[in-house]
Amino acid sequence: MARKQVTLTRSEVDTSRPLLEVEDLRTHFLTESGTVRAVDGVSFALERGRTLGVVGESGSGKTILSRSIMGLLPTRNVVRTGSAKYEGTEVAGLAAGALRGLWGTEMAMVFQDPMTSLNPVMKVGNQITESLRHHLDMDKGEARETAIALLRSVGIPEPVQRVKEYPHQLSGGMRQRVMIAIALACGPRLLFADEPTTALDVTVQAQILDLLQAQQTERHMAMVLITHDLGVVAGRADDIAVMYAGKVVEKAPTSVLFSSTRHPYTEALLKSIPKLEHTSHTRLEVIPGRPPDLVSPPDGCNFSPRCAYAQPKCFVEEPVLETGPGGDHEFACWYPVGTPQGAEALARNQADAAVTEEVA
Amino acid sequence: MRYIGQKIVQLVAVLFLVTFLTFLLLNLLKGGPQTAALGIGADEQAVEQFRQEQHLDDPTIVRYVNWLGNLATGDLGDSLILNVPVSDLLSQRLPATLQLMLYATVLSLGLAIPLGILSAWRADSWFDKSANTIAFAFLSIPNFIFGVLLVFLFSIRLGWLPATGYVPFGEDPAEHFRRMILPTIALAAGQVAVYMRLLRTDMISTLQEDFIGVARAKGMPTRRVLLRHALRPSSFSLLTVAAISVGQLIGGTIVIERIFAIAGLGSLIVESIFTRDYLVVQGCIVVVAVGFVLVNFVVDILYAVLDPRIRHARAIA
Amino acid sequence: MPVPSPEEAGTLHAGGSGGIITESSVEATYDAIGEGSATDVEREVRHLGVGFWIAVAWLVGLITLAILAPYLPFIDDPNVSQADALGAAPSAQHWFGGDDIGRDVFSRVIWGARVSLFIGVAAVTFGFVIGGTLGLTAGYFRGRYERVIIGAMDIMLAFPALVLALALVTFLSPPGTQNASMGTVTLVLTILAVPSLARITRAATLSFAQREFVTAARALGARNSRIIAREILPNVVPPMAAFALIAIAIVIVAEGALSFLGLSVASPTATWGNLIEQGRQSLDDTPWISLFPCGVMFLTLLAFNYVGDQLRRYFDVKEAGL
Repeated sequence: MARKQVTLTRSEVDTSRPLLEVEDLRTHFLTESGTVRAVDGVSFALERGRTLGVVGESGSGKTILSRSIMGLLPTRNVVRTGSAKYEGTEVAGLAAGALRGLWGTEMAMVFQDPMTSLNPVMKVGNQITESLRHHLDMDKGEARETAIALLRSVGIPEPVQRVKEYPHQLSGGMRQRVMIAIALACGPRLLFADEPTTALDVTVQAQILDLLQAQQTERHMAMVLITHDLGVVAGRADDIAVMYAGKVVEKAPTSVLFSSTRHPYTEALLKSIPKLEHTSHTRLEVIPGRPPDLVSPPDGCNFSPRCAYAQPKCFVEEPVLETGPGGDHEFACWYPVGTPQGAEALARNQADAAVTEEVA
Repeated sequence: MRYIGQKIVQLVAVLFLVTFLTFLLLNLLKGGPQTAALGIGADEQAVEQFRQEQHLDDPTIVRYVNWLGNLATGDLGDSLILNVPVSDLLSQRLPATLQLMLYATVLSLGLAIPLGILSAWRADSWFDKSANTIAFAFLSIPNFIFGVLLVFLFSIRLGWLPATGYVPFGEDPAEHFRRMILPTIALAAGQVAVYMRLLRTDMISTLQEDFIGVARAKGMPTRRVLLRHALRPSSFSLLTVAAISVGQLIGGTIVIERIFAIAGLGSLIVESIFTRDYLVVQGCIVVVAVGFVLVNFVVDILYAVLDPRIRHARAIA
Repeated sequence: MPVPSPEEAGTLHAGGSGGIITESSVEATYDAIGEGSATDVEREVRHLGVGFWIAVAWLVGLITLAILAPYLPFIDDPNVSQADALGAAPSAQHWFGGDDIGRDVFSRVIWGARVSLFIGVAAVTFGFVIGGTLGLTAGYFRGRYERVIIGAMDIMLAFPALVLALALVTFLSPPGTQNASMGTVTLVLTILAVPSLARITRAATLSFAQREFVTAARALGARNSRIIAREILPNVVPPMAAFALIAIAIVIVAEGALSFLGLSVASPTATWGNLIEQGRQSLDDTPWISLFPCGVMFLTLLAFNYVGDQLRRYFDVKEAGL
């Protein structure tokens, strides 16, 4: 595709700085019950061609984060501070018109639920070609050809037939492929994949993730893979950021995250994954307590009420995001896992618990 | 296709029912069909002769079938007062009414669609709130009052437009339209409010759907998102309401034609009621009923043809 | 939901294109009874504002004047011609002026209100008795009975209302007479009101009949009649009462249209419709004869609609509140 070459060449010039630099991004929603601090100070950098996995429960702010960076938030009752630089240009405060120029061509998003993300009364082909014709100025025939090629490249059989069909005539997996084709149509260099496989059958999930990875490699795109499922990011992301209550609590390259976990929340997440080796009827490890209150977060660490390592300090002072040795592992915890302080804290808590049980 | 088949069966059933009920109307009248045809005070002999000719002693069903047969050939009897076939009267008067209804629909949709879209897009803004208030006022004002007010303001006080009279399109298109302006506005006012509010509600709902966010995230300009993405699904309910509103329109033309002295079907109904020309009344009712049922049928079919979700109903998992 | 029912359209309000019982709004009903259908981003207005009370004041004032009309000294006899009122413009003695044969317009408007209000209230009351019963039982007992009722109501609703009213008035009146009697008009409008009221009541009943307190009552062995009377009816009544106001407005419009066409209660009885029609002949030199009735009627309809609408929202019992 001739036009794509043009963009690739441009990107090769700018390899000096990261594609995406986010600094202290905060998104607060003003509601009747108070200010919801959905994203509360997130910073990271993403190089082109790399994948960042963002992991967290519902309510952790991961979806709002991606929307905040792209600028897809509602206009009323939203306060957004901080900076997000794409290719060195600040996008956090851009006007709607300028943002629309970026959407589709530079950054794109694949949404969670392919059933509702596609316009039910519009042909699949048209949903792809409209981007092409609007952003890339293609004429009808050229756009159609490109759309067919796109559908083929995302693995949809009989694309010539499919362009004329409506979303409800396709299966869930195929619809998600169409979504991906739409997102990639104009050759963006940054892709947000927001829970791309959550709404799909397990068997289809791997195919879609493979597809995303393949497209990313081929197009040299940066990708932000958002999910609640650590299994999804395990083999696919270069770095992983774990979010809790609107903040990043731990961020590390994937292997480091799994091998030397530092934050208790990450550890708890890892422990809660059921493993094949477990015998049947093994109790699943759960994280006790309730999701955090985003309106009036507690003093100190947001995770402290549910943390096995929590000490008095945790309830009072909010931990700062520190960078461990090696320079690529960040975590925010006073008593990190795998450190002497952490082990001591855990032991202390377990002893206390035993005493309480005896007394009761 | 099965859908269309079902609809045709429904159509036939409803047509039978409606024509049967209309046929029965004459029986409601004290004195029955004889009085309807001959008027009161007709002498005994004429009445008796009429009873024999019309087989008024036959079972109702038989009479109905006969009547239906006549209807099919266009024979609706003769006007008592004017001594012309009812069908002649109907065909004379129908065009004006149809024109009026058409213009009113075009005007009301033409205003309601942009207003509805804007109100939905800018929900809760001052524009939305004021549009809503004005719509509420228009919903509350009966069309005959609005018609009188329009005449008072534009004809009498300002003298811009004629108060009454109808000129057929063929004769003088310019004058035809000039005279239709006020009646059309009077008829359309209430419709605009209904359509606008409906579209607004529907579009607010549609705008909250995921695929709208996706369309925006593709970088599509607002106008395109509103018109091509949001309006499409919402337009189906608008279509259905428009069909139902035809009924309201018909009621409206009766009053409007009276105010503006338009020789249409509506004024024919009123005149014939005044003169107790029962057969004409019945003829008008038949036309209205059948027309109404047919319009609804066409809309139902259109609906199926246009909405791909219905077309492929089988495919919905 | 691909095909909306005739209900899922516009809003049900009096006036507009002379529509009598027009499309009812599923949204309006479900809002009143707590089943969210079309989502509306507006916050529900839970308080009754200034406008509401102004409208109530207007209605109370008008109704009072109408009821007390025969006894109030400042309301002249509407059928008596007064020399000083002949074609007179509004003045201190004749607030709305006088008509072409010298009758005081103000008193005619008030007496006209008597007719409109009476017919409105009567038709809606009887309509609710009949239609409400049909709707209540249909919504409670369901099954084939419900389908039949709803089918019949739908057919009646589908037909252009004014045309139906005209037809009924014509054929139900004795052949020789020119106008209909008050009774006939009330009867016809009741017939017209029944289908809408039945559907609304049914929708409300459907919502309540599925709630747990009904199941609980049944589990305690309560008979159907008791459940309907003690559990369902008290819950259905408030939203229906709010709706009744809107229904009254609709009937008033219908009667107005009929009398405007000269087919309602006979002259010289004053009704809003025939006042407006009479005044129409002389709009150019004595506009007040028509305009004042127009104004009063419009404001009254606006008030009924507004109060009904606000009450409907006020009684909005959403799931959360239950």
